[in-house]
Amino acid sequence: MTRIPRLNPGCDVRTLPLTSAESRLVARIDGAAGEVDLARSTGLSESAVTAALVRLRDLGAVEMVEVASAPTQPKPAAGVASQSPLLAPSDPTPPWDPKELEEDVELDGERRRQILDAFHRLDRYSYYDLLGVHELSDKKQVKTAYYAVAPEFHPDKYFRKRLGAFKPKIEAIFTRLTLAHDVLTSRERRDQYDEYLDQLRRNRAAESVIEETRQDAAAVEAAVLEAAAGILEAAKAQAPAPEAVRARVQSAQERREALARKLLGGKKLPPRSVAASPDQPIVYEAAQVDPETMRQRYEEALATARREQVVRFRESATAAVERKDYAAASNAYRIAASLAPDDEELQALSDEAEHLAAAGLAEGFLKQAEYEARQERWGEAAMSYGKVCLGRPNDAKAHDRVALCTMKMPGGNMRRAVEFGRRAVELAPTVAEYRVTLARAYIEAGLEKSAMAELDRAEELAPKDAKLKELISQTKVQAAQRKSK
Amino acid sequence: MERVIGIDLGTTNSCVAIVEDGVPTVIPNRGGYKTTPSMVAVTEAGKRLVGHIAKRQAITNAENTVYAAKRLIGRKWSSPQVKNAVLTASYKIIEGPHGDVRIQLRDKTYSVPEISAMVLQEMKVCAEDYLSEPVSKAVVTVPAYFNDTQRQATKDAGQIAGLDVIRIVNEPTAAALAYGFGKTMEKTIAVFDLGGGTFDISVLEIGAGGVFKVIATAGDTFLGGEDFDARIIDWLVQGFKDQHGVDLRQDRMALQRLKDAAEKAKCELSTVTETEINLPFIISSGRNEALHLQRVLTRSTLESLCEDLVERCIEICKQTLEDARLDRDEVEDVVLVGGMTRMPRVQDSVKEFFGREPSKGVHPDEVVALGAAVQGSALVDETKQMILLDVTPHALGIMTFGSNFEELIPQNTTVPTARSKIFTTSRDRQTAVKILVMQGEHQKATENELLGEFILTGLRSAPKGQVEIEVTFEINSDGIVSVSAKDLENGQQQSIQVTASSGLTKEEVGRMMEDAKEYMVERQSSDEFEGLKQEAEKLIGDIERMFPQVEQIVASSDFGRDAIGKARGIVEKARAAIVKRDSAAVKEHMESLARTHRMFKGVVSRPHG
Ligand SMILES: Nc1ncnc2c1ncn2[C@@H]1O[C@H](COP(=O)(O)OP(=O)(O)OP(=O)(O)O)[C@@H](O)[C@H]1O
Ligand SMILES: [Mg+2]
Repeated sequence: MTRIPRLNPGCDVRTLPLTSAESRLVARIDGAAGEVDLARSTGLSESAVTAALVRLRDLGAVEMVEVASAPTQPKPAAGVASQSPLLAPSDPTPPWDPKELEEDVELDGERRRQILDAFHRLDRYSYYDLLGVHELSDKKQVKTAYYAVAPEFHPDKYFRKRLGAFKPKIEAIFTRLTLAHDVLTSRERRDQYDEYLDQLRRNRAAESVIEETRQDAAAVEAAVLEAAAGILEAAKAQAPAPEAVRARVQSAQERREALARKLLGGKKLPPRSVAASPDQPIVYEAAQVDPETMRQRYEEALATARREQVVRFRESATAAVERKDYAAASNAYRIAASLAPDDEELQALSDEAEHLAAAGLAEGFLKQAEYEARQERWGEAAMSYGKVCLGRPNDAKAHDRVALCTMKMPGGNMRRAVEFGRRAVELAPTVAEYRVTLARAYIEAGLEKSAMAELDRAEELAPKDAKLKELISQTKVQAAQRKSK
Repeated sequence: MERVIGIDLGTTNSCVAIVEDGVPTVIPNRGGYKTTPSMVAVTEAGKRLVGHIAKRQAITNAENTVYAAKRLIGRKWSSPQVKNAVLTASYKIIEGPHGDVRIQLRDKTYSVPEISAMVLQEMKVCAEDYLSEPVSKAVVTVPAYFNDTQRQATKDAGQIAGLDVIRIVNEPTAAALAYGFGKTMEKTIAVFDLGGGTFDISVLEIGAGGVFKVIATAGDTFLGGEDFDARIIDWLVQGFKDQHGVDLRQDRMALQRLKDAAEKAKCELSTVTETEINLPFIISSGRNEALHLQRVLTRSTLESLCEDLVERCIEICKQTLEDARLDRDEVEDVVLVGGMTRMPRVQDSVKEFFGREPSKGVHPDEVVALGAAVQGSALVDETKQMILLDVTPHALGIMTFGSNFEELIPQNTTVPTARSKIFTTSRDRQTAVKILVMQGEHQKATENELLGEFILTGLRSAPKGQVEIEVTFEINSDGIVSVSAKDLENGQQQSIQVTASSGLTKEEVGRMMEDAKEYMVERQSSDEFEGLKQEAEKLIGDIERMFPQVEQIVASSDFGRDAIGKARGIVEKARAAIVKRDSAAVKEHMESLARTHRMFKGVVSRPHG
């Protein structure tokens, strides 16, 4: 008997806060490979694979299936058989205007549809998805996949054909496919891209954990109330719990467990209390309890429920801190704190965790922003740097970068550039570079006078830096030109 | 489907090929040779000669014989390469009207594309003779390291020659296409192409399904057999000066003989280790005595004379592998292309560098043309499953503040590719923006090749920064750059004209095309004349042979005597027309000749007596 992990079809692994080792593992799970195979194909140690699988199972991403014997033949490596989604049959509900099909070009209908589908789906896919390969596919597999899809979208396939508006689309698809190939076949660029993808996922997951805290806190409170109410009502009815209550208790419980799974990030669920699971009979008291006692009991039950929840969430918060998962910790602390509003220590802990979470998130966004800026995706970079600033309100450089990227993006909001540029200068008044950025933002916004003033100060601050000096004098010329006209 | 020929327009030799029944085949020229010297000459009588005949008369007509024109194509008059060529070439190179280069042959000057067009035209005619049908489409190859101006000029040459150049392909890439043609393999190969004028190295991947992807390419457009020859010439000239105190360079004819001898010696030394260079009566001394040149050149002397040239090739290979991020042992095969790779020293260095025996599977002189033909047929034939993904050999960018080079499209980017950049006005009411487009790898813009400058005009008069123009820089599959601009505000396409700083204008190309066509008419009619002449001479010969017999038979009658007199008249007239090379007149007399011929035949075959 061997245990084989299978992907849980109902779970979107993309939304989970996975480490890069875990995502690699996920990519290799094909329903046939056992733990040993996975260790071999991922290059991870067997114990690491086991540990990761446990976590993945707890996250609901995989389930372990017992099979009679290990498959003797190793399955072909993942990624060989798959192909680019751009070659797949068209979308049933195309995201493009059917009018585009009517253009007078020398392409048959099927081709037109394929090109439009591909073009409008480009931004949906990561480079891996675009080529239809896994994150673990090797260079050769990436190339094979690229060679299969790229010729379909190479302009030479339509040599001297009238293509109209389809031409730039074909070229855009080809260029993107080639970029994906180039990035994924260069060790260095692929590592950077992987890191970026990891970072992106982690940032998204962390962000959503934090965003959901409020909702989660409400859910917990509701669960507590419901649990207590269940007890009360059951007692009132002097009878085994009616279906309705059981159902309500159950639904509250499910929600709670789902939440707990998310918060605990793979740790075992703490022992259930208060609302026992439906298959464990709840002990209901006999009849004839007077209302006052009932109320007291209810209050007690409620308080106990609260306390226990506080303990649970504190525990999971501490565990999260240990894991350095500050987003989860902050979330758990916040819920705990909301259940015990008078506990000052808890409030302080919650604040600190929140602080750490924001800083951690900022760190993540910084990495994301730096990659985006290197790729000259200015709009995205400006956004990500902006998120860095949220976690690091005193980081001058991050503010400076928001201003710079905003200026570089087409259609950037110059007021935003000025705002962030100003903040950067406020935070680090002695850095000439930031003043130059601000000056340039001023120029873009039509405020030459302010620009000149900044440049003067920048010049005083950086009398030695030749390169900066040249930039300053150029910018001055620019400002002067604008002003004089 | 119209046939597409592939032409390798080489510095020294050109070659034409076609895919025939799915098989790439080299088309031999009229002399039966598979390659044709890229030489053009004008004789004293003003007759144009191309190929072998031009080469044969080069020594006696050195000043009016052009070789290695490819080294000049698309170059500026002011470039150091042209400066150097002016000093060493036996023909006259002068400055053209756009700061470009012109060549003086007798009383006429020609642009370099025109000279190349003559060679292309010759190749076209070869193909037409071979196929017995007109050919108008061609794929022409250029060195991978050619820049935009050089590519553009080569395209112009094709146009002047009356060819629709459907694609410009890089020579090493074409070689790879021929190498991989019809085989299924997944392989990384390097193509090392050392020809007469240029050196190219390309690293490619051949993928399943007929995909050829160039990973990196580099080279030197002024490094080839010509430079090896020059080293030998220098060595000979210096030795002669030391011995006789006479500078052979002063005499163009002597120089041409030296050049010939140097190349011959170089080629010989690829098979033997020692050769004698013997040029009697090379020049006369000041005292009017004839001097002879006689020297022994050994292979090892040649190798030491050219050591740095070979080293430069290897240096470039090293750099290219680095750019391709490949280790030497990841290259699974090395393909040698170009006549110079027959030199043992070159082969040894390549072998040593790549750590493997170079492939012997391809013919170094023909493989480029074959590949061009393969690409041509793949482009026009939709059933062909072959796609070529080539790269741009040079970075494309613009000049910015402080004459810095702002790179927009990096070197080795897969083409076709495009990159947009938004420009905005920097002054109020500014209505024009000037942009300088350049190609090259240097940080300093001035070190790079200026492709052209253009001015965006007719911008809306508005406060500064309000008008935004999106300029798109494009490199197409020919490696040729184009620029277009769009006013972002109203979406209007701005028309811009990149005027290549050393190219030909549209009008010039048009005029040259007309000239070339005229030459074709001329040439065709002379071909036609030759045919008529042969036919007429045969008839005349037959008639004359029959005269005595016919005279004997018919002399008795008046009618007979009259007929004989008429026949003599016809023959004389036809002769005169042949002497005058008047094909129309010959044609006119042909019928009477044929009639007389028939009549005579009838008379002599009739039984008499
Ligand atoms: N056996 C040989 N040994 C050495 N060199 C040779 C030999 N045969 C030819 N060459 C040289 O090779 C050169 C011509 O090569 P090739 O015909 O490949 O050049 P090309 O295609 O005309 O030039 P390019 O590709 O540079 O434009 C000449 O310099 C010639 O002297
Ligand atoms: Mg060649």
